[in-house]
Amino acid sequence: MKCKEWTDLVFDYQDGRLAEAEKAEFEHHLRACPACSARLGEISEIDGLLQKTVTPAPGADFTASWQKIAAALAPDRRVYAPRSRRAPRWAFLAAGFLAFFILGVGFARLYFSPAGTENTASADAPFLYSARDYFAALQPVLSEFSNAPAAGDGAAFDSARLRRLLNNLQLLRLRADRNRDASLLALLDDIELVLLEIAHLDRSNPENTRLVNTLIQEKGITMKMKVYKFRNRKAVSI
Amino acid sequence: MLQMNGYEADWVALAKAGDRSAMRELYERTRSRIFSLAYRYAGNAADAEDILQDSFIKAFSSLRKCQLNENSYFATWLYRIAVNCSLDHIRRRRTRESHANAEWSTRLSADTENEGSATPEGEYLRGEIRQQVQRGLAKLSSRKRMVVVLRHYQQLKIGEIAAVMGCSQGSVKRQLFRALAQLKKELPVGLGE
Ligand SMILES: [Zn+2]
Repeated sequence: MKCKEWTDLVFDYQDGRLAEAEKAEFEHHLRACPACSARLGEISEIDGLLQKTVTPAPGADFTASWQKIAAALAPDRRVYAPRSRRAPRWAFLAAGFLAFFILGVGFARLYFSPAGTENTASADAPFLYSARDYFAALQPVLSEFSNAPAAGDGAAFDSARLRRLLNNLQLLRLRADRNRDASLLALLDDIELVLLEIAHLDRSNPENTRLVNTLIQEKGITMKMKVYKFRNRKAVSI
Repeated sequence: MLQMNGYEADWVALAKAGDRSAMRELYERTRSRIFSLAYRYAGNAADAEDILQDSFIKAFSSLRKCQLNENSYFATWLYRIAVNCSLDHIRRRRTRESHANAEWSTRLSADTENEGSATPEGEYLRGEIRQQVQRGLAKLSSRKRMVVVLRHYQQLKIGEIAAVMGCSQGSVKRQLFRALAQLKKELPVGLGE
């Protein structure tokens, strides 16, 4: 090894990235060459000084920064917009009126909801990574439609919660897609449609609420969630 | 160092689709590292916050178009944007202020003087050396300073520095070597030439 190869090797040597033979050669040269050995000493000394004098970075107002970032970005494009390739033919059969009327009006509202309406509290909540946790979070929303007239805590009509569930659903879908879990994908599609319908439910007509319940029953969502949990009772996450 | 946990791909996929909560999640997970990079480079908290914001705005607005595949980590890509924002920021400030480097050094001291602790004698010596380090860093060219920051304050490997600075490993090594040689003159190291 020549001295001029030194700069090429010294940092890799420090990073522990030299192969055994290269390392041996490098160290052999160090022992034989006082100049290179002194230079390594100096570099290590500078490294040490830089480390010793490093002070912790001061605090930053990360929340204020996020607000500026969010304000500068284009409005949130709703990722939970329905995908046409899985057109819900069943929806028209099962609840033609509901699907046609409510979805029609509702999607328009969903797509064109103004920017800045995003609930920041919901954006701060953690995502649920396992289908099991997700189903647990979904259950109170669905139960609100099972005992008519509804006597729940209003979970179903908490728009921030619904948005959260819809966003979270996309995460589960990505993971299910990757795991090629077709039955979970189908179930998530059903859940998405139900959630979208709930999100745009006209509550002035109690008949609509009953129709959502019919939809949940017909799709067998509650039963399928139980089956899924049972089938995956050993695996904690999907 | 630049890797995130296994869920990164999910967040990135969601953020790419425009999901604001996923962007927020990515921001929460990376903001401290980006801020610290900007702070070490710019030398003061106000500029570092500007750089932090610029970096994420640029990242999220170009995420949809960018070709992040499974082999390129989001964090590396984000670092690269932050490095460019830092270099831009200082360049812009230089055109506004003539003595940017002198100011860099004094502002850094002002920021670092606030934290307390340590014994008086040790702290005095440490403070002296810190001043020298700051003066030395301030005299480096912006790219050389960035290489030192990435290596010594962000603990990146040569290959990672090359990836975030968009140059070859050989070029990183040469710049780092020159930067250290220059710093050596400013610092109480060895017996001199
Ligand atoms: Zn030599």
